[in-house]
Amino acid sequence: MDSIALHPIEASTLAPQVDLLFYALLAFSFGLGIFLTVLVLGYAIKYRRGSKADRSGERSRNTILEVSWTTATALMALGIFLWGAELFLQRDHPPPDSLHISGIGKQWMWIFEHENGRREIDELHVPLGQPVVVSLSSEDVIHSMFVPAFRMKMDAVPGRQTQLWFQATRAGTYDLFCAEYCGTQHSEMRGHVVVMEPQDFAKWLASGPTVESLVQQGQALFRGLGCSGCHGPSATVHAPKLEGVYGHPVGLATSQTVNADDGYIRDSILQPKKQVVGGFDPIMPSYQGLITEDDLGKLVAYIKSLGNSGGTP
Amino acid sequence: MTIAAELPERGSYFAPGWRLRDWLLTTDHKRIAWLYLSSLLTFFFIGGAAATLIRLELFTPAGDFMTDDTYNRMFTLHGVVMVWFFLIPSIPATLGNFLLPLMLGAKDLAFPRLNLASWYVFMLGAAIALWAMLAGGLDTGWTFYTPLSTMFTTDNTSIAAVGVFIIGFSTIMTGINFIVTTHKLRAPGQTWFRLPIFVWTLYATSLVMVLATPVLAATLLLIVADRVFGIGIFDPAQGGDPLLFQHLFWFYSHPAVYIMILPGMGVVSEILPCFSRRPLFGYKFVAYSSMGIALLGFMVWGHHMFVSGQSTYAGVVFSFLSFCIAVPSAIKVFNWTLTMRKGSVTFETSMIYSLGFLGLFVFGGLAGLFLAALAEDVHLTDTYFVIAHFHYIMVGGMVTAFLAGIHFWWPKMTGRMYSERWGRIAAVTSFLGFNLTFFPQFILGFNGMPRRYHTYPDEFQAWNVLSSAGAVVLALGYVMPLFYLGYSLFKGPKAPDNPWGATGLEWQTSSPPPKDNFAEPPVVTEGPYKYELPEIDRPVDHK
Amino acid sequence: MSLGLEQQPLETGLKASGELGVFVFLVSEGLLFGALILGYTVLRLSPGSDFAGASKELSLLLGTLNTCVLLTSSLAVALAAMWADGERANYARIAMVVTAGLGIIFLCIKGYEWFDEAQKGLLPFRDMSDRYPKASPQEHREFFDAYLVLTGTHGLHLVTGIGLMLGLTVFWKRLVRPAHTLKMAALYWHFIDVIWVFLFPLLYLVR
Repeated sequence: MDSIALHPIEASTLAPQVDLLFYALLAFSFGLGIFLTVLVLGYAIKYRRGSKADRSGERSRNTILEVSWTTATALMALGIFLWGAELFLQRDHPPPDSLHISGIGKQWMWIFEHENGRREIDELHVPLGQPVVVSLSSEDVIHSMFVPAFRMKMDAVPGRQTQLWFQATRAGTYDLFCAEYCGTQHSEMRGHVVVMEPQDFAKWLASGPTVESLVQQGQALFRGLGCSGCHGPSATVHAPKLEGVYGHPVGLATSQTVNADDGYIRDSILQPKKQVVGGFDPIMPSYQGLITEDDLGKLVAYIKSLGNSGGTP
Repeated sequence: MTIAAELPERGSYFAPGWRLRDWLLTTDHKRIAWLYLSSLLTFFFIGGAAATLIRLELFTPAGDFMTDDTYNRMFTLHGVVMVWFFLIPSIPATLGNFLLPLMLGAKDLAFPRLNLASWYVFMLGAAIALWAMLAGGLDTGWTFYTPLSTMFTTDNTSIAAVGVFIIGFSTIMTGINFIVTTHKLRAPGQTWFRLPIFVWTLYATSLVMVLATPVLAATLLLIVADRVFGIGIFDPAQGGDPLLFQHLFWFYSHPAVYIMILPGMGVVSEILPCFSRRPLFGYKFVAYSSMGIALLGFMVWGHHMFVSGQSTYAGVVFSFLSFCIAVPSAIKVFNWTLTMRKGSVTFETSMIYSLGFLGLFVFGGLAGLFLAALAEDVHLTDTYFVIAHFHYIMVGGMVTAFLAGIHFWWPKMTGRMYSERWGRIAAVTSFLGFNLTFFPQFILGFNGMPRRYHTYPDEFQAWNVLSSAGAVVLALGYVMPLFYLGYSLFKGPKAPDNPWGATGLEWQTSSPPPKDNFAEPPVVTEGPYKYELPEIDRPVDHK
Repeated sequence: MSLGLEQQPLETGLKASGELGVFVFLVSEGLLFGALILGYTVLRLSPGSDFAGASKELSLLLGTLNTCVLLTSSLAVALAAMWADGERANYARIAMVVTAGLGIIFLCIKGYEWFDEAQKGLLPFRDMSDRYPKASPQEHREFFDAYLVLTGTHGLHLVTGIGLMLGLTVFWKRLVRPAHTLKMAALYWHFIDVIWVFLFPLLYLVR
C-alpha cells in the first residue's frame, strides 16, 4: 500500500462546493461534539462523588434553556438544509452547451456511447472544461454511477432514464464505481473516467473504430422495428408524422398540450397509449420489453434528429 | 417514588421449576425475557461471526479470502440477522419484557400467552430465514432491492422473505402487548407523567412496531408474489416500478431504526440519573421528544432515496423533515448531559456504558446531518460513510445501551452481582474497539469507497486494516461479558433488592422478583427520579 | 404502608385490555391492507394500465353475490355476539357456524372466479410456466396483479376468521370467557368485511 486515501481529488466544478459544505459540517460536528464531550466529561469529573464542587441550587428543569437550545439546533439545521438543498437543485439544470452521453449499466459493466456513435466499455472519455450530461439507464437491475472525484452519483434504473451532469476541471483518470449493489460482481463493476484536454478529446473521439453515429443506428432501427411502416412517408396507416416533432408542442387527444421532449419520445415508444396525439386513434403497439435500453436510446436520438433537420425517415 | 411493598415471602420467579417445560411453556414475562435473551445472544454472535469474516476479507484489497458470491451472502446474512434477529427485538423483548410490568407495578403483561407465542413465532421465522440463508444463500443484501431480488437471485429469496415476514408478526404481537399493558395495567397513582422514561420509550417503540411492520409484511408479500406468481408490480418490463419497492421498504425500514434506538435511549435515561443521584433533567421534554421521534420517523423514509431517481423536490421535502428529526434527538442529548450537573457521579459499569452511548450516539447522529444534507448525500450515500453512520448509532448506540441495561438490571434479573472490575474493563474495551473499527470508515466513505464491495482499490487498504484490527478489539469487548456475567450466575455474591439505590418500582421488590412481581400491589404517590444527593456531597445549607 | 387509596384489583382488566388489544391489532392490519391498496393505486395511476377495461373481465354478478354473502355473515356474527351473553348461548353457537359457513361459501365463489380467470389466462395459476399467457394487452396485467394480491390476502384473512369461528364453536364450553372471546373474534370478522367493502368497488366497479 504505497498510497493512502486521505482526501478525494477535486476534479469537477461541483467538488469544491460539496467539499466546502462537508468541511462546514465537519467543523460544526466537531465543534458541537467536542463541546458536548467536554461537558459530559467535565461534569463527570467535576461532580464525581466526593469532589468538593458546589452543588447548591441544582434544578431539574429549565424551560428557557430547553427552548433556547431547541431553537438554536433548529436554526442550525435549517441553515445546513438550505445550503445542501440549494446545491442539490443544480442537478436538474445542466448548462445548455452540454455534451450528451448515454450510459447503460448492466451486470456487470458500464457501456457509454458518445453522440458520434463511439462506444466505450467501463471507460468514459470526456473533455476538460465542458459540461457533460450522462443519460443513464439499466438493462437489468438498479446500478449507480459514482465518480468520487466529481462528487457525483446517480442510480441507473431499469425502465426509466435518469441523468447526471458534471463539468470536469482537472485532466486525469478518475475512479468510476457502481454504487448500488447489483449482484455477484458488483465490486468489479468499476471503470475510469478519463478527462482530456479538448483538442485531445476531439482527436480521440474521431479516431475510434468507425461506427455509425447513434442517429444512423437509430435510423436503421426505425426501419428494422417497423416504425416506418406507420410513420414513414408511404405508410397507409394514419399515424403522426415525426419530422419537426422533437422540441415542439404536441396537441393531445385530451386537449392538453405537451412539449415533445426526450421523455415524451421515450414514452411514446414504450407506452403509446399514455399520451395519444389529438386526431389519431390509440392503435400503436407498445415496444415495452421488445427493445433494449441501448437501442431505445438510439431510436430516440434518431427521432430527435428528425426534429431539427426535417429529414425523411 | 413509591411506598415500598411489604415483602413477606421472598421466593423468586426461578423457584417454580427448572424443567424444560417450565421454560418452554411459561407465561411469566420474566422467563420469556430469558428465552428471548438466550436466542438473541445466539443470533448476535452469528451475525458477529459474519461480520468477522467480512472484516477478514476486507483486510486486503483483493478478494482472496472468499468468492464474490460468498461475500455477498455474508453481508446479507450479517444485515438480516443483526437487523431482524437481534436489533429489532433486542431491548424490548428482553429488558422490556422483564421490566415493563415491574415498572408499572403489574403482575405480568396484559397478554402473557401472546407474549410466549411471540417468542415461538420469532423462533419460527428466524429458523426459516436462517435456513434459507445458510442453505443456498441469500445475496440480495438485507434491503432486498428490486428487480434484483425479484428477478435475478436464487430461489431461497422467497423463503428468506417468508421467514422475515413471520418475524414481523412477533414484533407486532410484542407491540400490541406493550401498548395495552401501558394503558391498562398501571399501578394506582401512576399517571403518565410519573412513568419512567424507559416506559415512555417502550410505548413509543411499540406504536412504531404496530404501525410500520405491516408495511414490511405487505412489501415482502409483494416480493414473494412477484417471484412465485409472476406479478410485475416491481418489474419495469411489465409496467411496474422498481422505485415503488424502495418507497414501501423504507417506509417500514426507517421507522424500524427508531424501533431499534428508542428503547436504548430509555435505558440510558434510567441509568444516568441513578449514577448522578439527580433527577433526569427536563423529564417532560424527554418524554415528548421520544414521541416526537416516533412520529417524525414515519415521515423521512425518502432520505434513503436521494439518488434513486425520485424527484428532486421529493428529495428536498425529505431532507427538510430529516433535519427536523435531529431536533428531538438533540433535546434528549442536552437533557442527558445536564442530568449530571451538580450531581454526585460514580462510574459503575452500566454508567460507563451509558457515557459511551452518549458519545457514540452524538457522533453517529452528527454524521446523520451530513447525510441529510442533499448535495453532501449525493457524494456520501452508498459509501462506507453511511455504514459508519448507522453502526455508530446501532452498535455504538443501541448495543452499548443494551449492555448498559443488562448490567444495570442484572442483579434484579438474576439476584447476583458481577465483577465491577471486569465490567468496566469490558465497557472500555468495547468503546475503544468500536471507535477503531468504525471511525476509519467515515474516512473511507468520504474518499469514495462504495458499500458492499468485496474488493477495493489499493489506496483504501490502510483504513480497512485499521477497521479490521478494531473489530478484533470490539469482539473481545463483547465476548468478555459472557464470561464474567456467566460466572456471576454461579459464584456471584447475592444481590440486595436495590444495589444501586435506584428509584423505580422494580427496585421495590426482591432481587430476583417473585413470580407475581410484588408481594402486595404497589401504589405510586410521586414522580420518577426522586434522587437525593448523598450525605458526602450535599451542599452545606441544604436541609 | 398503604394509604387508603382504592387499590386496583390486581388481575388484569381483561375486558378492557382485550378490546384495546384487538383494536391495536386491527389498526396494524389496516396498515397492511393500506400498503397493498397503495400498490394498487400506483398501478392504477401508471400510464400503461387499463383498469376499467380489465375490471370488465371480472364477473360483477359473482362479486356482488360475494359481497352479499359476506355482509350477511357479518350480520350472523353480530347476532352471535348479541346472543352469547344470555341463555341464548346455543343460538350463538349456531350463528357462529352460519358465519363460518357463509365465509366458506365466499371462498368457494372466489375460488371459482379465480379458476375461471385462470382458464382465460388472466391469472397465472393454470399454466405457471407461462406466468400470464393471455394477460396482454399488458394494460390488463397490472390490474390482475393487484387483484390477485388483494383478494389473495383478503382470502387468507378470511380463512383465519373461519378458523376462529369454528374453533370457538367447538371449544365453547372450555373457554373461560366465551362471550368476551366471541366479541373479539366478531370484531376481527367485521374488519375483514370492511376490507372487502373497500376492495369490491376498487376491483369490480372500475368501469
